[in-house]
Amino acid sequence: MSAAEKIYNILSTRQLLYVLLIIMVLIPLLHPFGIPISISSRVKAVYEYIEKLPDHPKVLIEIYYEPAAATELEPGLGAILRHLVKKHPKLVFVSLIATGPIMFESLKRYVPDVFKQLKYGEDYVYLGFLTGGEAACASLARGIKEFVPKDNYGNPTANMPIFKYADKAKDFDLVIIVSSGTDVFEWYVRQWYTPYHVPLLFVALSVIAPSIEPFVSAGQAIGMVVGQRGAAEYELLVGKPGSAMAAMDAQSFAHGLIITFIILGNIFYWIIRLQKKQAPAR
Amino acid sequence: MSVVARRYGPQAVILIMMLFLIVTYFFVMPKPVMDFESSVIKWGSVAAGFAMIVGAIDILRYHIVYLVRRTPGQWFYSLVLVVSLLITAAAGTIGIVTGVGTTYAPFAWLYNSIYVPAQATIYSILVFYIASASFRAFRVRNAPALLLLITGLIVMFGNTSLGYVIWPGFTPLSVWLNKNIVAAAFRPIIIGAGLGIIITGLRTILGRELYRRE
Repeated sequence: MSAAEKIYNILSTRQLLYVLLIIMVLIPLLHPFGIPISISSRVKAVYEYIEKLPDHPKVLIEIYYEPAAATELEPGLGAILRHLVKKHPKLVFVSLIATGPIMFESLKRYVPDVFKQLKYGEDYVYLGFLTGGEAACASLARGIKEFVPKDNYGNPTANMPIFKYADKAKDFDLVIIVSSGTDVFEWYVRQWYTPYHVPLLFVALSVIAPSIEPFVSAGQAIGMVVGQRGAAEYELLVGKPGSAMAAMDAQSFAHGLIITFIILGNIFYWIIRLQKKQAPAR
Repeated sequence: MSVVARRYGPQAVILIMMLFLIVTYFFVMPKPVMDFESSVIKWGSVAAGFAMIVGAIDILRYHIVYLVRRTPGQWFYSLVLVVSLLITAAAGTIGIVTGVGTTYAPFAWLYNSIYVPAQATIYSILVFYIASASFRAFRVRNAPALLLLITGLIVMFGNTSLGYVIWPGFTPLSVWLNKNIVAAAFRPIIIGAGLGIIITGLRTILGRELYRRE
């Protein structure tokens, strides 16, 4: 066995990659290096759109993710809320997924400063989990008060002041869909954008972004904030670095390690291949 | 119930509802018709709620059979599922009855101390599989594989702060790739899926889409 083959075999050892990966994630998490990041045109466009919204914007926020995706999606939504709250918004939160109510409580713990500035029932409301998927999404567009007589905590929605301003789809200035899946983006495109032209903003996982890209390109959404990177950029724009910024170093180191392994693996693969080609000639 | 009513009854209901919803989605109709349309859509949400209850009962029934039969290698897992389902459902119901919802302490504990860490663990393990798989998948065996590797590296660097330090152009290049190449690749997939939905809808309307319980 040649030296190249020995090195290639060592590189192919899964355990080595796993151990190095743990180290590369842990070190920057314990001692952040603060590697600078750039602001992409995509996130900047979203920031500028929200900046241009009128005062007291009416915004519907769909919380459609599970605990596993919270670390990637919550920072993005948190940063957007910190931006929105400066405009004294009317926020209607809703979930078309069963894990939504728990995720909403987690969001309240993540950005307590935002919710401290808002009064329940007047500035924001959480409708809870609604069954029916796209049917529920369509019903919300036709009138929230009528479709959801009680909020997540059992309060009657009929008397809530917020619904004087934000009840039907045409009342809303923006819908923010925060999702770990793809279906819900399509539901809102079909039930909110197409019939009522309500602007949509997507907050998605990095792995989901390619599948919703065509909706953004077609202008059916004003933009998207993707993954931890997008969240970190938005945190920078808002001027309050949070958990996404803190995790960027770890993500960079992990990606760097994987890239190094891929490049080294290819180098030694080609050395071995060339050695084998030359061997019969000798 | 006669065979005709059993076979054609549900089909007729589906046909009428589908045609009605298609027409009201694309055309503006008088107010009473639109009000009725809103009611029909609400029925859909209510039916979905009941479908969840039916699903939970079905899962319970399925696993109780394993428990009663003491199926080797399975009954213990069925016991865990049945107990977990009943406890969570009970805690959730108490939360609803007492008006505190999901903030009811035992329910929140079940979620935050069992479900959340379990899900986070499973999701985190993915990084190891992805790292190990990409080491093998990005092997440059031919020209298309080289193209895949270059594109993959640009997107990976574009998503990290490390990429910006190496070359600031990675981020705009990655965004350009997503906006143009990726969107172009996904557009036909979405259009194809849309056409598939239309065909399934047409087959249902024409009674050619048969659902049978195996």
